[in-house]
Amino acid sequence: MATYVAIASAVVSGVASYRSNQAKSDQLKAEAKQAEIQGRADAVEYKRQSVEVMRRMNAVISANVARAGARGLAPYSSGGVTELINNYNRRYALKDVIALRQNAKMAKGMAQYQAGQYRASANTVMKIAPLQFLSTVGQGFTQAEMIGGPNAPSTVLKKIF
Amino acid sequence: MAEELQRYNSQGVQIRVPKVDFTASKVQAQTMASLSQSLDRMSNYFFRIAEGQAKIQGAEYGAENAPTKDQIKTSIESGEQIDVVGDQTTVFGQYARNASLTAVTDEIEYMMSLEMSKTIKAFNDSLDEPGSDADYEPDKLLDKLKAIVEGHSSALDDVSPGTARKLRASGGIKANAKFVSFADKWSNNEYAKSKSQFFAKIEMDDNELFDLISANANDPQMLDFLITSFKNKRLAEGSTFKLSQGELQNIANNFDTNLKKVANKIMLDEILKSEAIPGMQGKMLEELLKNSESRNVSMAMASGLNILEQLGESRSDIVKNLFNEHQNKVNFDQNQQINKINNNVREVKDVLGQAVTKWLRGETEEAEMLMGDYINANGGVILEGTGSQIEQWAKFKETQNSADVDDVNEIVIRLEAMGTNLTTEDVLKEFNAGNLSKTTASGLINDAQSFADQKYKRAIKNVIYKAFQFEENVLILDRKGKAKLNIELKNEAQAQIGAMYEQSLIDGTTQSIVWSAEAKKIVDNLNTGLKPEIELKEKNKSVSVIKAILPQVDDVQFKNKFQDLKAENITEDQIQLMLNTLMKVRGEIDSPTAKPSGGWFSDAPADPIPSYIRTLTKKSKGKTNQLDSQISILKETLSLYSDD
Repeated sequence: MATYVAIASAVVSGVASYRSNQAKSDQLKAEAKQAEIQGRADAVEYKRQSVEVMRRMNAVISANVARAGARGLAPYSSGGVTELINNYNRRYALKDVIALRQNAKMAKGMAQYQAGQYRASANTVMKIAPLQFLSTVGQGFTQAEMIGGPNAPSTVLKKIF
Repeated sequence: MAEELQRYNSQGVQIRVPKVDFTASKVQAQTMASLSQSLDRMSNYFFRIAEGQAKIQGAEYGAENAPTKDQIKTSIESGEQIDVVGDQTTVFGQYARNASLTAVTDEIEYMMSLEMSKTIKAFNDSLDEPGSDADYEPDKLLDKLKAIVEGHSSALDDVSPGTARKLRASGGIKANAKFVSFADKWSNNEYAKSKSQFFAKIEMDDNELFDLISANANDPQMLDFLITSFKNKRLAEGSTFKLSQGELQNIANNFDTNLKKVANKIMLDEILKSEAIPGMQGKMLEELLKNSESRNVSMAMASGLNILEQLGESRSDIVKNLFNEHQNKVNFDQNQQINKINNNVREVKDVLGQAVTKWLRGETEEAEMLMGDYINANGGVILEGTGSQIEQWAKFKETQNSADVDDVNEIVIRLEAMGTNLTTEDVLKEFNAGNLSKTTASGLINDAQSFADQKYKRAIKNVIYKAFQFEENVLILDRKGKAKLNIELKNEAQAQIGAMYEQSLIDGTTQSIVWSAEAKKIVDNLNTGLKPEIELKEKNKSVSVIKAILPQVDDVQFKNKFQDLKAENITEDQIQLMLNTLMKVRGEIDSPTAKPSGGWFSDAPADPIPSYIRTLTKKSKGKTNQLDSQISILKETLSLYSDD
């Protein structure tokens, strides 16, 4: 009886180990997807920030144009003070916008890379799982076999099959 | 103007590179590490199994191939090292070596113990020898034991110095214990031997005392000095044995007692010597009786008197005792003489009876031969005091040789009328007087003997058998208690009266003894002497049984019924009570009564079996044989109280 329980325990332990690896693999795959989504979300945020920068830039330029007009200055005259200042504003704002766009691009790319890492891990785990299953079952079986006697697993299996 | 225009404030946005977790590598590393550990565990496990197998195989190999007893013996005797299998590098080798060494060590320890036991036995046996042998003294034993331990242990010195040291230590411990035990025995034995030699010497010295006093009787002062020195020397010797004050006092008292005896013997010898001198018979004792202080006695007698006086006896008491002892000796000699004559008469009477019977049967030659041993060539007696019997024999023969006479009817009638009171002597008297014919005399003698035998048998049957309730045709198979007691008493009475009968046949007194009175006397003596003694023994057995049971009982009331229990005062009720108790216990063992139990909401009813019965039952369960034996003893004792 004890031998039957020992063999069964070893097999169940092996199956549990396999299932655990499977679960871990699934978890890693899910994490990969999550990483991709997170990357996209981050990119959108960066884009939103760049739009905001542009909006503020436009607001400043518009205000300057309006103020110049009100003073009797030609707001769109080339080479004037207004254009000079607005060009300055445009340059700095675009610098921010470019940085934010780069960030959005990198967030997306890196998220995909991270997802790739997770997927590779999931594959590795699943590749090792059968080996671990065999190792656990084999060790249990050998331990039971070493007890020996008429109830040794090999004898019992012979009786069964 | 320029100041009024607004400037865009930079947000300070910087390039941010998201952090990447290199999970794939980590997981791969972790998984591989886990697999590696798992495989390591597995291989360790198999290594362990293989190691275990190697250990077992090694141990088996080592045990199987361990040096044999003969090899070990040869090695010990030759001084060569023992070869053990195995090595010190591999697991198999180590275990083979250990097993082999263990087997060798066990064997050597056994051989060592055996050798020690043999040696110790020889030394112990020497203690029983009367003398002391220098070869069997403790230091010799120590040398031998050391040689045994060293000789056996050194065989492993080069093979395994550690094991050899261990063997030396264990052998040394054993040897030491044996040596200490023997040394104690030896010293006790030596002490006891010296002590017994001392006491044996006392006995011998006591015998020398007589010679010492006799030799120095002429010099009272020297004699006094010698006796004092003798006594002091003995006490000094005794004190070397660490004797107690009491023991030393005993030696001194015994010396004085012996001295008194010796002095008395010397004085009695002096009186006897003087008795042998013609004209001096009774003179010395007479002189002393007249005047106890008289100096007109021999030197030896004077020395004896002096010694006794110094031991605290008065001169008049000494003389009185001397006279009594002398008188006792004279009386003793006279009694010896009387006893001798009585024995002679009894012997000749017995032979005379046999000779007369033989003569009357016609066996005259055999009758003459029988009596011939007691008559000398001159017709006189050989044994002192038997003249009357020899004369009676001569008269009998004379009457027999003369012509037969006719019966005198009056005499025959008178003798027959005596009935069971008739004796052989009455018949012989009338026959020798010529009043009876040979045939009638022979018939009457047979009748007389037959009457006496019948009286003896009737006395046994009517007095002894009746007194001890013995019935001839009833066989008592279970002789126990009173039945056993009665049989013992009956057998004793029958043995006593039987011995008396046998003696009467020798003495020729069978017809004169009143057998019924003798039987009654024997019965009375047994009833007052042996019977109470046997009854007390039986009661003692029951007292022992009850005393063994009582400590197991916790019921004070029950115990109180057996207070101050002794064989002398044990009552029938007490025995009956204990017997009933044990019978109940036996009953409970055979068919137990269940202990009543209560319900959920009610108490258990009272147990009909007392708690001490339950306790005794529990304790006696595995000892039913003992219980049965105790019951049997109580029953036997109880039967002593029965009236029938």
